[in-house]
Amino acid sequence: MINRLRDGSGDSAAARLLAQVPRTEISSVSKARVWAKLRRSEGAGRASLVVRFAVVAVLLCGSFAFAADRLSLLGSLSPSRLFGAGEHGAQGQVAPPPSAHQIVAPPAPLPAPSDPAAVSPPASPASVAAVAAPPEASAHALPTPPPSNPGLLAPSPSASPVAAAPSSPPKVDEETDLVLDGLRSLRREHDPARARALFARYLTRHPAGPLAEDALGYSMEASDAQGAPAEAARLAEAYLRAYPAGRYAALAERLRISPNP
Amino acid sequence: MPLEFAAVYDRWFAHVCRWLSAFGIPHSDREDLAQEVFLVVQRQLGDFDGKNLSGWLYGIVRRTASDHRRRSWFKNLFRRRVDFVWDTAPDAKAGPDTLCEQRDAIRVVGALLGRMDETRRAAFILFEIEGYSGEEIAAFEGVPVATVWTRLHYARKEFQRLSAESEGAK
Repeated sequence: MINRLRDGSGDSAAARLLAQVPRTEISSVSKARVWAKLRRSEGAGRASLVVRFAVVAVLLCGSFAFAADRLSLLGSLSPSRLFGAGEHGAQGQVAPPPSAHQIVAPPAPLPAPSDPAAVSPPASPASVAAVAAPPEASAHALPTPPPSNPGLLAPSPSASPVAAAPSSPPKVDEETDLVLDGLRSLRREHDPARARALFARYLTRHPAGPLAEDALGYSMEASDAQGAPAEAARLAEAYLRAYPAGRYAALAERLRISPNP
Repeated sequence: MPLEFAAVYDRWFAHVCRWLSAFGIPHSDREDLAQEVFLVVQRQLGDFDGKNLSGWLYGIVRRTASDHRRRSWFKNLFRRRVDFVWDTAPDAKAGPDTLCEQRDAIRVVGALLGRMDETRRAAFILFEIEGYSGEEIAAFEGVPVATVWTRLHYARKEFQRLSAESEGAK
């Protein structure tokens, strides 16, 4: 049996040092605290498994939803939306079209009406649509036929709710696209025939639309540019009837009075 | 008869804490490490063959302490690396003078132990400070008793030499 240093030779420095060092004492509080932690961690272990599973499931569902959303967005980006009009995609107009009222501004040289009091209520939309329709079928006619049921364009108050309600309400984007495409054809591509067809289609579909005045005004300009003074005069007459003090009134007056030879 | 975890905990908690101390786990980390040890015990108790419980527990403590030192490498990244920290709480019932002397002694002994060989040091602390017998230490470490006495013999000589050097330096 070997004696401990602290018990045996108490005269050495090592023995004196060791004699002053107490044995590690473990308090009952510490023991109870660790026991409580063990019990908690046992319950938490099972709970954390459930929580981990739930977190993984939520993350998976979120990722799937995000991916599905992105994919559907990509699917909706058709070339016509990316490039304005489908057949004009080569021009690289990737940016979305600006708002209609920014683009469809009146031509700069046209003066504003001098007498605001002279503004009269516009003519009926149906008459505007009828006037704006191109007189002859040309090679530039667009493939989409006009609506077969004219009653849907101007429903009467007594019509049944089913008939009165359009099957798909016109979207603002479609309306603007027609007028913007027409304006692009007229001003940039110098294709007044196609421009007239587009404006006429807009006026047929939306005779009282927010861009009806612009479409009619540009129709006059397109007819004039196409070298059809009689048609331009006819449209000018119709315009002045519908918008006597409109933004294109000056142009209409000029076209009506002095048609180009 | 299968061992009950609560009975093992009740019987061996204090020993586990002392072993952790002998492996250089500071007082501040000892409770957390003891909890880690008993989590392992709880998980593996069903597979234990029941032959040498103290040796089995001692092995878990040694591995847990080693893992803890390896994990704390980040703490030692920007400061001087300290693998071994021995400390113990002074006797709370002692008077102020004794308390002060005990704190000084704990600091000096801790510094001397830190300079000793690792294998001898554990046996030295368990025998000289924690009061285990040579047979008990042999059972913990799974070595013959003679090996423990040999380790203790060399550990004592080393400690006395270091202590004398420390005294001489003063």
